[in-house]
Order: sequence, then C-alpha cells, then structure tokens
Amino acid sequence: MTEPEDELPETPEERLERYLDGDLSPEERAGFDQELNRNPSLAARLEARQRAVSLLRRAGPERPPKHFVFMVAERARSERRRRSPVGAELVVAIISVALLIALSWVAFHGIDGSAPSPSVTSEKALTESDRRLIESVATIDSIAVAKTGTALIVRVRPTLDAREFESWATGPGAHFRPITALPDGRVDLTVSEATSTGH
Amino acid sequence: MNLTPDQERVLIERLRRGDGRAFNELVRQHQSTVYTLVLRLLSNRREDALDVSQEVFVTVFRAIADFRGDSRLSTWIHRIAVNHCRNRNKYLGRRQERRHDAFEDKHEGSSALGAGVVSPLRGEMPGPEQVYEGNEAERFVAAALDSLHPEHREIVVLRELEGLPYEEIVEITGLKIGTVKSRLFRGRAALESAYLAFREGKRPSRDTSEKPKDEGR
Repeated sequence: MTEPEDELPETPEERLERYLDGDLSPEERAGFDQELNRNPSLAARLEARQRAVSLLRRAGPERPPKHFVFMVAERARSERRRRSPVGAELVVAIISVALLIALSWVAFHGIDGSAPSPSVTSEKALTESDRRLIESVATIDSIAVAKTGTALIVRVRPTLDAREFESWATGPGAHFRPITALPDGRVDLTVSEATSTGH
Repeated sequence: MNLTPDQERVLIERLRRGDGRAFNELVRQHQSTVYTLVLRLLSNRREDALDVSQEVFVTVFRAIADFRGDSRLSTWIHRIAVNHCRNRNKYLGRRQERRHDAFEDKHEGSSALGAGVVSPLRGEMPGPEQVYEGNEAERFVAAALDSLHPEHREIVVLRELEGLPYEEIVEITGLKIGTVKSRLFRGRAALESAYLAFREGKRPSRDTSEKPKDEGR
C-alpha cells in the first residue's frame, strides 16, 4: 500500500530525514534548528543517528588479502574449465594426442620417414634445473611433448598471466622463447637446446 | 586511481577481447571498493566477503560482453556485487534459520529456554570474536550492520558508507526511489537503536523478519 507523500503534512521524522540528506533549504534548516531546541527528544535522535553514521564511516575502506588478484584469476580459470563442455575438451584432447603422435613420428623418422633419429624425447628430456626454472613461475601441465630439431616443445600453465609470463620467458637472460600464447592463459614454449643439457 | 571515460572505454574493449592483463587491471582498480562494499553488506563476515568478492569479479569477466555502457562501469560492478550479496544473505539467513529450528527441536520442553531467553544461535553471526574485538568503529560496524534487516542494510551501506546519490542507488538496486527512501528511513531508525544499545554496552537486537515492514511509506 503506497500513500502519496505530497498529500500528507511533513512529520518531524521526515524533516529529520531531509536534514540528514542535506535537503533542507536555508530557511527550512533554520526552522528545524529551532524545532530541535524546542524538542530535546528529536535532538537526541538526530545526535544518535549522526554519531552512528560517523562511527560507521570511521571504519573506513578495507583491502582484500595481498594475493586477491591472483585468487580471482585462478577462480576465473577454474570456472572456465568447469563451464567448458566436455565434448570440446575431448576434441581438443584427441587433436593434441594426434599431434603428439605426428610430432613424435617426425622426430623419430625425420620428415621423409627414413632416418631414425636419436633425438626422441620424453618427460625426462627436461632437466631438473629446467623443471625448477619453469616451476618457479608455472604449473607444468604437460611437458616435453617432442623434441624437434634443436628444441623441446613444452606446454605450461603459468601462474602469472600470459603476458607477464611471456615477458619473463623472453626477457634478458631468459631461456625460453614462447611460440604461442593461448587464450586460456597457457603458453607454448620452445626451450632452447642450450638449456636442455644432456641432449 | 580513477580512469577517465576514454581510459575506461579502452579497458572495457580489452576485457571484451578476453585480455587477461586488462582483467587483472580491473581487479586491482576495484578490489578495495568491491571488497569493502561486500564486507559491509554481509555484516563484516570476512570469509564470506572474500568468497563473494571473487564471485563478483568472475561474473564481471563473464558478463562484460553484455555490458552496454548505459551506466558507469563502477555502477554496473556495484549492481553485480549487490545481487551476489542478496543471494548470499538469503543463503545465510536460511542456514541460520535451519540451525535455529534444529536447536529449538533439540531443546523442546527445556526450561532453560523459556520465554525471553535468547537462543545463543541467534547471536552466532558475525560471532563474538568479530563483534568484541577490534576498535570501537569496527565493533560498532559489525554489530550495527548485523542488526539491520539485509534490505535496509543494503540501502544504508550504499547511501551512508558509499555516499551514493539516490539516482545511482536506484540504478544499482533496481528499486523505486520511494522504496529506497523508505528503506533508508527504516535503516536509519534501526541504526539509531543499534547505537543506543551499543553505547550502553548491549548488543543490538537483530531484525530477523523475512520481509521488512517498510514498503508503503
């Protein structure tokens, strides 16, 4: 049930509200100040409300925990994974496996399929120091897919965002050359032969 | 750091393209505002506030394609935050009700819980550690906001703490101006009672009604 406000005379309560909102004209305000002098109970209510609001405001703004940005990014990623249809994931997985087999075959036999190559690699092809270096900034998703020519192709899921990771990977003294920044935040990396010691 | 309208447009475009860096910028820029707003709307329940604040940004990222730019980005984010908090408050209210019912069932007939005796479960949230620790303002914020009905609290927080004009509150809450003013009126009155109780060292009583008795002023 709504009653039209303009048909009712304004109550002291309503004037109090307008006073708190700063909506009284100078004349109305002067009148209200006089009313407060005559009505100590109304004055006490005004004071209580002002003090309550002032205490609320004194609490001030709060900052979330230090790693909030990272927490949100991680949550967004996991949401995306959870929402992506299983069918699409399956197709991606099948394509990835097919690609892996093809790359392994090329690595074994060369493009013409003739010369067996000793450069076949497995997860072990990544040295401990390579792994530690990558793990310092990334969670290894699947690694050492294949060794082609002079490089290992490594797929990692960075804990930094893609660009930050990319600049880390390609900055001065970096060992990695990203070949693709994937939209889901992963980066395909090429690890140079020099860092993959023992090959 | 506040962005100019042009900078904000560029940021929105980058977000729409799925630029992860832009998303991080947006979170950095709004994290404090959103976290504080959510924290107050949830009566200083920090764990819930952290969870809901993250949900807010994930929703922003997911829904940015639908943002038409009719309002400011911050207003739109506030709207998302308010909606998430409404849902969380409903959930918390239902959970508390279930616990309270379970408690009463368990103690049915017990003389220890006669008329006028307040169940300890009613005072469970935000918890004594939140209410009685910290400085005076913090203690008051937790107790006073928790004593307000969530629908009144929402308007009190937007108006008194965020300092937003009525038009923006209408935009954020989707309520009519009359309802906003009416809820603010009730909220301020409840705040006054909370302050008087607090001054006397008492805990303000909570408005646990399902619907506040305000629509219609």
